[in-house]
Amino acid sequence: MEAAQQIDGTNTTDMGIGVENDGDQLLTFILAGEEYGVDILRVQEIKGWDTVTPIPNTPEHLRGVINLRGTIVPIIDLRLRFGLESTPYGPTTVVIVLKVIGDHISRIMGIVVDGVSDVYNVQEDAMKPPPDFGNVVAIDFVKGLATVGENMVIVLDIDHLLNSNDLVQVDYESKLRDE
Amino acid sequence: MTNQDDATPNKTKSHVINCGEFIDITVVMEWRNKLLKILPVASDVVLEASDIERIDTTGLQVLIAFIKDANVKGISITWLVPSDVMRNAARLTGLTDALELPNAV
Amino acid sequence: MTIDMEQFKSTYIEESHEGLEVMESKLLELDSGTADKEAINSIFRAAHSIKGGGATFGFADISDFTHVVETLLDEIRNGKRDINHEAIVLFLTSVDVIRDMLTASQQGIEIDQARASEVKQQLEKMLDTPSDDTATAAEPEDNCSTSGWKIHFVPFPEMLARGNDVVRMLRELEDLGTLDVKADVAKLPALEDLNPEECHIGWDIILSGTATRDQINEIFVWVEGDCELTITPLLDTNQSGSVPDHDAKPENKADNAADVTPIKQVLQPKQTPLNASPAAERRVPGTESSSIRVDIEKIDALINMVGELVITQSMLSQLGEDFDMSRCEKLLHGLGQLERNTRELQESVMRIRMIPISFAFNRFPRMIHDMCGKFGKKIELKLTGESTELDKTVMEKIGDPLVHLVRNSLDHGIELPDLRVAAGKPEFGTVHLNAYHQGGNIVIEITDDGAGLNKDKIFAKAVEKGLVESGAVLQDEKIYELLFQPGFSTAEQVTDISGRGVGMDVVKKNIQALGGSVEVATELGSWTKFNIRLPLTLAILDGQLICVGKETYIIPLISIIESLQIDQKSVSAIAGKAELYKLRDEYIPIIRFHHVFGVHTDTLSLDDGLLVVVEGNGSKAALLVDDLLGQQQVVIKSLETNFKKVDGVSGATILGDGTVALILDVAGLIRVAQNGKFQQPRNIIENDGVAA
Repeated sequence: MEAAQQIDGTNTTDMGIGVENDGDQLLTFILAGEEYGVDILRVQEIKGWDTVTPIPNTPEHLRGVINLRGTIVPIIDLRLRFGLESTPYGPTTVVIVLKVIGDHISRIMGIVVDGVSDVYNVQEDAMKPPPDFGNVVAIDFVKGLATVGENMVIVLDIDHLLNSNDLVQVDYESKLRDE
Repeated sequence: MTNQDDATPNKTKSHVINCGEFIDITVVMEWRNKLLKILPVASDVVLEASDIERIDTTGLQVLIAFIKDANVKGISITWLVPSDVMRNAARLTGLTDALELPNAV
Repeated sequence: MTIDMEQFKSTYIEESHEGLEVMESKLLELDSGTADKEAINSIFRAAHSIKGGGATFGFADISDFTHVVETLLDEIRNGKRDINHEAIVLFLTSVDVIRDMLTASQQGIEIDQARASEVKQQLEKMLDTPSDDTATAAEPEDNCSTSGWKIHFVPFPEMLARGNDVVRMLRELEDLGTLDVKADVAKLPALEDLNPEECHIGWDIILSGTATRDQINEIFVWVEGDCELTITPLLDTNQSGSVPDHDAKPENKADNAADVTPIKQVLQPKQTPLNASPAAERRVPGTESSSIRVDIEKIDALINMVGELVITQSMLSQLGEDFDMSRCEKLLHGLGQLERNTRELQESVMRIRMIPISFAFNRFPRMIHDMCGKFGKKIELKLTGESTELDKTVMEKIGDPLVHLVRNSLDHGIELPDLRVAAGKPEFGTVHLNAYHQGGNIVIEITDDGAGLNKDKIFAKAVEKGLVESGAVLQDEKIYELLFQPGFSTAEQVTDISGRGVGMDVVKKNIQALGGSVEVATELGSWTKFNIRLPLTLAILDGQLICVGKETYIIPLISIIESLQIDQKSVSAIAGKAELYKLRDEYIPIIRFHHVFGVHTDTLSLDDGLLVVVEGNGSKAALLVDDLLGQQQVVIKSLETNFKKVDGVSGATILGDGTVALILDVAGLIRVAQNGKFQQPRNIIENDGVAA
């Protein structure tokens, strides 16, 4: 059952939270117990999980493609992308369809997350840069950390997270592991 | 184009045709139709052309055609003070005679 | 006044290319003696437009160069100079130069100045050489003193409707001197019969004074073609120079100079009216342009279809409002109508992208002409089916392969005249290009009555290149197919005209990339025929649906040779790994599709599945699939829009149930299989029954 909601980046959302317009607006979602946020202007829509057509010889986190009103859109499992264990998809599994910009072109891609959380208004200066973890975690896709109430929201740079280079390169390491 | 009736019946009407400020290709079809209607009922026609500021080849042509037909029917044509623009256009195109324009006073 | 010139520039370039095409084809006609009397005027007008527009839009180089061409052409059409073969060749070269200049400007690269000035010098040299025709020597020059001109001017009826007015023209004429105007109203109909917007008056005008013919022509420039105009100088002697009844000559409005030696002058024309390229029938297919001209009928048909679709939609919508099973039949009927509307709409839209293949064919007359000149061969080009339509993109992409194939015929096919005569053939060889529709395809045939292909030679060459075993026994067709193998290119194929030594394999690859195929047939000593088959559109594909596990894939029908149930006896394995299937007299590698694509399936043994024998890029393979589903036409959707190119996959489509099915690229698939690097099937994450 598709729960498609259109978010157009204006003040109120279907979530029922009213937010003002200055600063960045973030749509946040839950993944493996953590709350992540993406720029709401990049969010095209939110869908429920539906069957996907797999593409051969692509990284594990690229689940496949779906038909979004006539356009072919790739779907990425964010848990797998982060190297986490994936969980079975259930009724609350949600796909956030995003507009990703890179190389002078924009693409539409979807990410599978555990569930959508909220829409927050975050001032520019309220966002702290991510700490340096050295080589432990490659985190060029984290824009910063924001504090909303008592929660820490990890703000993602989706252009870095979902750039096509990453998807293009077949992860040879995982392949060798599998064979 | 106004038509002042003399209130005399039938073929003894003297028609005054006010040529207005311009006769060109945009209105020439209208003119032809109106002139056509006058031919069967007029016995003499006065062409009031003092206001003409603009006339093109089609305008001259439709008047000439009208005048030719009028001659055939024996209708007399009188020009009433054709404007300079009118005269000049006729002169340039060598149509002064065809239009039966009077010599300038 | 700032006007954005950029948009006009690209229109100018497009129209100039069209003008060059007109020039080229008319020049060729003149050379072969098949031109009509309007030809030289068409050529002149095209050059004139290019020159004028060039100046207006800042292409000074083009304008300057073209001006010299125009001047020469003007002399020719005035009868001051004869046109001969030498001149035509020079003009054709000039066309090339201008064409290159336009392309360079379009792409923002440097114009080849050296070549341009070299050709320009040749043109100027020709201009300086007086023509042999002595009659013209006596003709009065425009700068010769004359007391005036006699102008016979009879507009065609429609001239006035085009925004021209004689009163105004005469006023301008009066500025040049003293007028004596006689009008002829004899042809004026009675008022009742008169269409007042038409012109039924003619004039004979005497213009006395020192005006030049050029000045007079300027005044009549806009009515060229819409009137009878004769301008005769008022001289007692020598009326031979007068030009008989023909249309007014357009001149550069700024060209007020009385003397007619403008070549050395640097022209600074003022706002020259940019005449739209006259009778510009054709577009240049070479540069892939992003716009297309469409017959208005096609648009109207489209509008009608959409109208019907809207009606069907509203009917269905109404049905849906309070629907119950009793209205089921109406619903089915409505759905049937929807299917019809959609299909018709689809066909209608496809037709918009279709243009006649003549655009691709029209570069050949020139090529043949040049070829004949350079190599002394005598070749006649025959074109049939030029009006056969095909998709614009397909046509743009088939241009180069066609050129290579025709060059091949010209180079290796048609023999030199004396050899032909010796063989009892006509001196002129024929190259015949034909196009027609067949099924959902367009077929293009290139036939020449030349030397034919020598299969023994081809075989020997193939053996030499290691493409085939020396002892192998091949059917004739297979031997000719060797021509298209990569690595077959013979050095002989690289001639001056063929240039870069592109082989036939590239031609075949290009054609296949369009979803087409190419074959060759021949008779040694008599003829060779290349047969190209192309789909009518790139957006739609005839596909065979197959299923593997839970997934559906599409194999383009054109890649499928046959499908069969496996006969275990015909299966053999090399080193226990590479499986082969013996099909008639060939051994074909078996590809376990589920393995290569990492798909879960229960059909793991050969007995349970089916083999689909496919061919891609010269290689054959037998795909093991679970089952064959139907055949249908599918709309090709790009994977690359939001993702990227995937080996083995040429695109995707959306099936009737809304799911995505991948379209296989057979050549890529075979490559991937050969590479041997593929993933295991994915772990299934989704729960069954979660999806809608």
